[in-house]
Amino acid sequence: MLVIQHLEKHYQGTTKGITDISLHIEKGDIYAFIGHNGAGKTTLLKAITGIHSFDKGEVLIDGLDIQKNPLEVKKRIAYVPDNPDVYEFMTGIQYLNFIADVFMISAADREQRIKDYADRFEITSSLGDLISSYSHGMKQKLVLISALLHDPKLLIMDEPFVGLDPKATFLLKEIMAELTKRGGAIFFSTHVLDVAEKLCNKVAIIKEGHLITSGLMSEVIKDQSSLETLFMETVNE
Amino acid sequence: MKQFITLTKLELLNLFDLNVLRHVKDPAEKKKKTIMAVVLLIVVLILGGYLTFSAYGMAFLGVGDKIPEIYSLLSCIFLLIFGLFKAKSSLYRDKDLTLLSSLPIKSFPIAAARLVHAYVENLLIGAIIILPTFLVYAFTCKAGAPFYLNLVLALFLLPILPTTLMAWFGIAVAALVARNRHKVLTETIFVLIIVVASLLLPMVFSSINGGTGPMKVDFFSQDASSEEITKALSLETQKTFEKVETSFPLLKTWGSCLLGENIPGFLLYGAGSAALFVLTALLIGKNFFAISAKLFPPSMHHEFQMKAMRSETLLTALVRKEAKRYFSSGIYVTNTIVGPVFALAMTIALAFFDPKTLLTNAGNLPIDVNANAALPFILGFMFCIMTPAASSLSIEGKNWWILQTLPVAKKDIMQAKLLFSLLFMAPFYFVSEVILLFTVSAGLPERLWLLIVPTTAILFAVTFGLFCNVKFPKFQWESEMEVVKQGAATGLSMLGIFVILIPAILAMLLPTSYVNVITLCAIALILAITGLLYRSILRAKL
Repeated sequence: MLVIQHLEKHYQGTTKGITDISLHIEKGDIYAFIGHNGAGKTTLLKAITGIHSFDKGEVLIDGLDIQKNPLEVKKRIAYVPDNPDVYEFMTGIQYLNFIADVFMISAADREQRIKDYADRFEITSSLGDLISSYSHGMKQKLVLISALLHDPKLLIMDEPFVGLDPKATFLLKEIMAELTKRGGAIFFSTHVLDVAEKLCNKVAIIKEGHLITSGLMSEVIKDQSSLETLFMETVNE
Repeated sequence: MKQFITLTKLELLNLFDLNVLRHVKDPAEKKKKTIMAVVLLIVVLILGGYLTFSAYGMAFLGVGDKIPEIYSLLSCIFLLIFGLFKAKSSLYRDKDLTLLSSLPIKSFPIAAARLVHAYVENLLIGAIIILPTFLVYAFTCKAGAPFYLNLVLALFLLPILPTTLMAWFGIAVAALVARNRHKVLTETIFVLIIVVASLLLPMVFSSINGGTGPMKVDFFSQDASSEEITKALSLETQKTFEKVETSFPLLKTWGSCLLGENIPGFLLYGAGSAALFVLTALLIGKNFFAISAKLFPPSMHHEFQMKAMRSETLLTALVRKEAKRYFSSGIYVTNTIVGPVFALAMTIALAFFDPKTLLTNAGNLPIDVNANAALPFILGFMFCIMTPAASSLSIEGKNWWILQTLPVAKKDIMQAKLLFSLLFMAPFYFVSEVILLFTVSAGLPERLWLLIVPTTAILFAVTFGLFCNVKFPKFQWESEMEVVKQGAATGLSMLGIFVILIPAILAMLLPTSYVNVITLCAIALILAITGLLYRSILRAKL
């Protein structure tokens, strides 16, 4: 589903960036991407979603190169950023309608999907309000719904659990599992290591722009007692 | 006092983005910021150069002693009108209000620091007008040393009153929109009324006193020598300024203050405006949070019921998004609607005055010219003073990631932005054209030019505006004012629009037989440039 090969992205004049990152994400994977602040998580996520260009390497999604076929790739993926900065001048329903128009989702389908997800995230009654009046959590729920509307094959999320209440967190985990059961894949960054360990089948750890380890969760953790112990040991090295 | 100093330092820290320019590490970003700063500097230099030459022109025509008073007035009007547009976003912005109100800070230092920030901004902008023109006066009229002291004093004193009025204007807007559902619309109409009134009032005063009227100087007379023309022009100019002084007696008093002839008056003005400034700061400081709450009230919750939904085409969805963005921002609307409103006002005025009377009186163009030939270009220019396209990309701000990650081609995004700007101008354009159709008495070619030239100007202005924004996008901003009014793209696009006036000047001054050729060539050239700019926009990498 997602093939990252020898990806490099450096910001001129700084030491920030990512170096020689290769990852393979298969259908049905829930892949956690962990690292300390400034390790390069967001840089990688932005490079594979087409927000940032990159210096070297290749990103293939569903067999398509993001640099050569950006539009075709973007039709297959969805991105949830670390900050839910959405159009505050729109109401929730207007924003969802706008996203549905871009993905050319039929009126009947969008109505059914919006109703379904909005009810589950319990924001249906607020969809007529301006997004500027939403709390951080409500904006996050709206971004998640907009990302799920076109049933993406690959869902890329940057710290998706931040700002969500416990019920919404539980629901998101449920929705992630549903998406992978339908043949989709999820690649997300997180600082919540407990959730990553329980929810994900694969994990990658990044440190100062370099990939330290990646693979099946069980194989990565190996003899360590938990993902947290492994992570602490890795970053302290 | 300590809080006031700390907050003022904070306010002034990033004046004109200087702090970001100083600390930005990414060389590409630094290069972009430097280019933007250089562009801004060039704009300032061009403006300064223009003002220097115009002041020198006054001195050449024998009215050099009027330079200080006339340019003081110009500076105050300029600062006042620009202040009206930014009162809400500059003084009462709510971006950092939550943070500040959670800190142990009283409201007075916050208000006072913001007022000082607005004052310093006005001081620097005012200096662009005051410094070159006053220096021209000093050199051409051989002013003594005391004048230089007056210059410095005037530089610091002049921005006080416009800044104070700007603060009061913010309070008036707050009072007006406090219990109003259509806040953006009310605010826009209110700002426009005040701006139009500020511009019309001097003309009304002038016409009450008989008006300045056109000068009777024929540039193309075969009999008059250049010396005679200069002498006649000089005489007419002096008469004009005498009439202006009769219309505005305070202007003459202010002039005498600046020239050191009325020192008590100067001191009284300085003390009075400073006292008003402090009083305003105290009053606003006391009610700062109440005013801000009225200007930025929390949204009301309405229980939403799902209804049958409708799908739109991609272009419709994008244009609709542009429209929603545009009409959600009072700053965006008020700053860009001015041109079309002025153009419409001009066409309405043409129903009552012939072009020559309108241009010589309203435009203060005191020479005998072929106004009919220039009218299409001037009308076109009025439409385009500032188009929404010039800041439509930067206004995306932190939301830019949405369009970056959606399967939307850059071409579609750009076309939607251009289309919205054109659609926004369309009603003003069509109403203007219908009015002109029934009111202006002209032959077929003139009527055609009145139809085609403004269309060409609008197409050019919108495309050039977006081109400037594509070249100088700014997605990181705190207040919309930074991109709508102070952005390099808007500054550059406003400057570029002046090319529309070049054929107007040529058509006005050259013999009538050249008019059609000049107009046709200008249309062809502007459309060709527009085509090139459009191609460049579609190919741009962002």
